[in-house]
Amino acid sequence: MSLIEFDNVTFSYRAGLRPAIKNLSFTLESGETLALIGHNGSGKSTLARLCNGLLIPDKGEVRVDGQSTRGKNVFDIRRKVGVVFQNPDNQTVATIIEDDVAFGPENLGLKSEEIRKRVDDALESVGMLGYAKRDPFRLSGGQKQRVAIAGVLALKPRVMILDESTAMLDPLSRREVMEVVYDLVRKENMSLITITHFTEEALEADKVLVLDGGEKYMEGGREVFLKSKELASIGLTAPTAVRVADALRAKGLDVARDVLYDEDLVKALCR
Amino acid sequence: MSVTIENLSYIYDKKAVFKKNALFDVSLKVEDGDFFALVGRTGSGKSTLAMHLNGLIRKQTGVILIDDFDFDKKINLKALRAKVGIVFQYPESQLFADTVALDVGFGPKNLKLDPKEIDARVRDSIGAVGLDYDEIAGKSPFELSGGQMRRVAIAGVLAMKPEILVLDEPTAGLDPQGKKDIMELVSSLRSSLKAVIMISHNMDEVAKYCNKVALMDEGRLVGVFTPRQLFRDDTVERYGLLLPSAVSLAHKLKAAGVINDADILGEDELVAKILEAKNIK
Repeated sequence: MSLIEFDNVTFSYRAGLRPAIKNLSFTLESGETLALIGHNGSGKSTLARLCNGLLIPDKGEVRVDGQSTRGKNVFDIRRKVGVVFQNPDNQTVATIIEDDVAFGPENLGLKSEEIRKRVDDALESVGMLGYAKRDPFRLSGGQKQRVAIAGVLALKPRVMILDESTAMLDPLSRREVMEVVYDLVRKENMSLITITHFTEEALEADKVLVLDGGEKYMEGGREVFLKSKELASIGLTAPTAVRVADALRAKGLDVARDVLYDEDLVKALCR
Repeated sequence: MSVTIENLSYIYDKKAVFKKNALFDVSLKVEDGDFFALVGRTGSGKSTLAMHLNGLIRKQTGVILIDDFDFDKKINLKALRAKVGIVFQYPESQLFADTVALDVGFGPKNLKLDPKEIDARVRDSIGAVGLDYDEIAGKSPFELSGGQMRRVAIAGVLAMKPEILVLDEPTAGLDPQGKKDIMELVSSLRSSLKAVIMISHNMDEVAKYCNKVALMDEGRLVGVFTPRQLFRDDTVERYGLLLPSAVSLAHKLKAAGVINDADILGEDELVAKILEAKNIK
């Protein structure tokens, strides 16, 4: 049984409107990481909201751990699927950071020692433990987002969805947060769906799903990023090493076909 | 009309027990024609600095000279803000009016300009951001795509006819094509503006479009560089930033002996350098 299963899902925000998601099927297994990419308006955020029952499909079915999001156990599903959205201001509920992070675990009715531990662990994971007693609204955008990620981590979900959650972080913080996220995901055997415009981030995931106009455009492993022409045709960019390798080949230099990372290109050119 | 900042320091919450300098002794000069980047990790003081420029933050210590505005006295904020326009992060979140035309015309209307002048400015600025006035003016801004909304928000600032445009991460949250489109747009606006100041975390964009970069860290100015100077070594990495992707790749190729120097800014230059090293013309 897959952890998340989309079975021929179609969804429109209003009847008569072009569907935001069209005839989409894919699966996410337990412990698997998936990068979801596509230009703005391709349906990525809609997909995220379909995963935890914030939106219900018009046609087809979304199943989380075998349960349809159409069913009565939507809260059970939301406990399993933690979503961190793009704008942290809309996700902050308390006036003290540790209270904000504790909000979810408190609602689960956990013991106070367990809540304490989860809050501290989560804040430490995102490098914000030193700020536990501060006011979240006075943080920078990037710091706020780390607190929002901590809030989801503290719920220990089965799958975490980052909906462009690092878009507002500076590059090194982004890298740090993603390292933390991948470490946690692997350690806890959590699954991850990361929606991102940063190729570097997407390259970390086991699988890639590319959406265009709400439909599946490409799906596969990291080798999807080798298809620079296909990506460019829907407004996406291939990794730098792939583009440079393409340009070198076009000029007649023989470069191995599977160059994906910087290190691959270095190796290919050292020969 | 240059912008001169000398020894500018700023503390949020001066009465707080744990006060921290948001800016400390910052001095820099933005000259006419500059596309000036402000870079630095989160919390380095970039936005605090930018907000000084149109009086959103009142100067505490130091000197700010913009045109003939005397920041030591009470400034005419309306006049200053007509000169210095700021496009904030995610500016589309500030759209509010029923139609695009009303939204873009809101600033000029507040200046109590003649309706004809307002209309002309609205048409000009919508055109300047690459949107079709006839198609879009009567639409609700909320019907538009993210990239279009951002353009409308920028048009609203342009309608004030600023001489200096300050943009806080203008491409944040956009997809690759959207990023490129906005950067091309901003670049195209340079000719009609005295200077553009851009806060950015995207070093690829800084390398491609800006002529000067001020690197900030913990409220202090590390220095002002040309992109080529700044990205020559790993300086930016020591300040919590990344090298432009092509430069980073060039450094790795140089370390492996594939190319002799990593003195490049963009992919085209890197490709040329590799071909040269491999003796391919």
